Amino acid sequence: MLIKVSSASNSGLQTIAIDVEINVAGKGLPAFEIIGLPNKAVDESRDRVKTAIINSHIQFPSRRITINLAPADIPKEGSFYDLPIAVGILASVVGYQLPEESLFFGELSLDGTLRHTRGALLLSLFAKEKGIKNIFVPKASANEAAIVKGVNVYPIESLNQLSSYFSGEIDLQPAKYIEAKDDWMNAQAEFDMAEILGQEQAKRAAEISASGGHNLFLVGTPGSGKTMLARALAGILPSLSEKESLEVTKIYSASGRIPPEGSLVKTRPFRAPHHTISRVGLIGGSTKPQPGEVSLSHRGILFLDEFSEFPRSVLEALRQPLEDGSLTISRSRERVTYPSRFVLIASANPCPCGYLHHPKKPCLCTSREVEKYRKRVSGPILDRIDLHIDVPVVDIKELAKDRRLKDELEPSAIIRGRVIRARETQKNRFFDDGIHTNAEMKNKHIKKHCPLSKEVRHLLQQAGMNFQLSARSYYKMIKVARTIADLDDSRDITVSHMAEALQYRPRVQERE
Amino acid sequence: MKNIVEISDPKYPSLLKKIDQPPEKLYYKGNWNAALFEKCLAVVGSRKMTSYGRQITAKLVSEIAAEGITIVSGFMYGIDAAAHKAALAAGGKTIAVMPCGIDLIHPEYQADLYKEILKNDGLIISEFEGAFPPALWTYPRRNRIVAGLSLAAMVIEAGQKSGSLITAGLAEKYKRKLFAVPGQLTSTQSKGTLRLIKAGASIVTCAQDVLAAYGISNHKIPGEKLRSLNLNKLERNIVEKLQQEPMRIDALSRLLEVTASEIGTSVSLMQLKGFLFEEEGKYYVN
Amino acid sequence: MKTSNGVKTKNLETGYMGEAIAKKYLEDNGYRVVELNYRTKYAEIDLIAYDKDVLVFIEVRTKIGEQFGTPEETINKNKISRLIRNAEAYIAIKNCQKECRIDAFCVVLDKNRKVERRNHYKNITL
Repeated sequence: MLIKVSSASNSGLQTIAIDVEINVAGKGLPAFEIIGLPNKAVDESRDRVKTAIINSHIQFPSRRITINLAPADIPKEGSFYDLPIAVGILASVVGYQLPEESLFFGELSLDGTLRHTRGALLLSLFAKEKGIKNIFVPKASANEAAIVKGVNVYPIESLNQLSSYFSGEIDLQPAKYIEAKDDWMNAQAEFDMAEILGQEQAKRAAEISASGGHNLFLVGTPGSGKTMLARALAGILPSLSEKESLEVTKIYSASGRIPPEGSLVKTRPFRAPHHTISRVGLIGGSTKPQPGEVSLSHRGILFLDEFSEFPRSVLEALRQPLEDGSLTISRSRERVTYPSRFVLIASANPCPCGYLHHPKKPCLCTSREVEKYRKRVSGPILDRIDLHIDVPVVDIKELAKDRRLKDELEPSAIIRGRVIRARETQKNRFFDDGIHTNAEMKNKHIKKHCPLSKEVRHLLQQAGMNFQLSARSYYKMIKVARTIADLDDSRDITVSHMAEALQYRPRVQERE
Repeated sequence: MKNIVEISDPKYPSLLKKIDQPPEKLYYKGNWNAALFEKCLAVVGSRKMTSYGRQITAKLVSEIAAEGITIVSGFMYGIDAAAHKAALAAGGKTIAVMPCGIDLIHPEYQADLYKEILKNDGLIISEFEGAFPPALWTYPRRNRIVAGLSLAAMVIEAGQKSGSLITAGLAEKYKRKLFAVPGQLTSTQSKGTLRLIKAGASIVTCAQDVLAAYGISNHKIPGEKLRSLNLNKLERNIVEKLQQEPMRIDALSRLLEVTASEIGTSVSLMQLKGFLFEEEGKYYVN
Repeated sequence: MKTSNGVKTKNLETGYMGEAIAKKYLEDNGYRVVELNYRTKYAEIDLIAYDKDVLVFIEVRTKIGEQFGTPEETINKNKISRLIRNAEAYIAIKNCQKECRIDAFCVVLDKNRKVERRNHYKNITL
């Protein structure tokens, strides 16, 4: 008897329909085989399925069972074929009529219950795209799949429950559609800007970074609050839109990072990998390409602390995602594209010992060492960072005494208000350009949207000579000035906007 | 063309002849111009330059070089390199005396500075031929030329056992005037200079102190021209605060109760107009 | 097996004893034994019987005492694949169209050749 159960497989963010064909032969020696390029995890599903069926007190057929995963030429991986295989066997043994237009998906536990399985959202999106009405997924993954409207997501707890449903003993209700709303408040960031004393200029830089999506480079001695500032920056970004949230959730679903019972990712990702991270860890890869940190921080913040300690080869790999906002990983068997539009916040010490210009501690480095240390960060990467700012050590005790200052500090919520307005302005401006933020502007956009008056141009030229700005920096300054003007609700870039932008010029000598 | 000047040559700097054992031959790179040797000042100091050292070198040397004094130094990293750079930045003249053969650049990574000196009609000289490698004993030999060429020597930052103290000693031996720039009593890089001052070296508090030794008297102090300029209220406030104490934008913002954004704007503009200069994040009145 | 003739004979005897015990047990349980020590070109199948309509190939393993390992331990992957090959050969020769399976029957005897335990394992290939 031949039974066909529909399922699907994920490759990156793409989903491919997979037919699970189950044949139970009437003659020959009993056996249980899976064919169709299974990997180890799929092959092992034989033992899981058999044991789960037996432990669900259902007679396992003593027949020759052949499972084919079609199309047979695509390599199969993962444990989510457990459920379709088990369903097919149940149907052939007991003779259930399987519901039509249904996808089955999920990993079985040995006791016959279903486990949280990665990629449920992708499956649900796929079902919607193909007009498939029902999907059966593990209960723990149902919230994740129920984000998609118009697909009946059946949360399955165990094989027994499913078999009772097939035999008509119980009724199953599809999981409730979880609506994405635009008006979520950002889950409270770890730090509020009001908690940071001093650092007025760095906070302003953070505001500009958040408004225009500019990458930010923080230089400061250990303990000056670089990390705190980066984390607080997450709190002044506008909350994720429905579309963005779905994009992020897709990536997290594909890599199995959504916790059981979890649903949409509602907060902007904040990723802070350690500097010992490998290239594959940062940009993604392995034989079955997985998203790396750059994709996991899509629509959020990628914070690279101790930037100059990252191996050069790792940092060089950042160039494509920084430039294109997406990343294509090519392997011999497949090619996968993950989005990676993030704000990079890099931080570094000013010198190897970290205490250059520290008011109290002496710096032990020679100027030669300092120069060498600063050259460690590659020029092309620095080129893609618009805002450069020093984060000096502040005497917290001294500042904390000043109550007046403390009370007046702006909370993140107010700053976020300004950021949202500036982003709105940008959205309207770039309506026809296919970009969203000032940081994404290419030269043609700058020509179109950033006309400079004679005075501003003169100022920029003067600065170019005095501060030895490279041609690249010249464009960066214009982009930053555009964002400052947007924050100021100004249509034109004025001399003062440009003058402020010059404060954020790269201080580390760039190599041409 | 052979870039050698022998002691018998009339082009040979006369001051240098007066020292004990003057070099028999001087190898050089660049254009030998006798005028270059007329008014020389040796500027020497520690390799381990502090931020104060860098700042004061830039200020003093550029003002001195702007008055036409040739800055002679040893092309080492630290104060030496800062002195060469400051002289070039002020459009002045500079001579680098190498501790190695004339064909070498030592230290190598300062090749950019080397080219810059030659491009701006400066001179590279050495008493060693070809690719003679630098050695421990060649540095004091080099110092004797640095001191010998100059009417006066100025020491900016020297540790307890700094090589620049050797140059200072030689300058005194050759009866040249010796200047020392004071530093913080707590800084190890000031120990040497403070000892020199104690022992009778002339103290330098402004460029005029040095220029007087060359008979230049009406040197303008750049800061003074500021007062006559028309500044707006915020700019005046900023200048006022910075004259008391150099500080960062953050501190200015707190003191004046003005956003960092506005302060940044004003400071950038004033910096470009040349009223202020920035050193390691702090702003100074020029 | 290059052991002394005496030992080999003894082992064979033990084997036959086990097979007899198994045959008796199966017949008591309603199996219809059709072949005993059926020889194919490659090896032999200890017992072939019908359990109702299902053709069952039975491998009998016998041991005297369990000090040197249990009879179950002697059925490893290699042995099972050989059993499947033999069974398939038999099916082909007899052109059998029935459902089939492979069972194992383990017998442990004590020093006096008395049965200590016997176990019937059904469907060992699945």
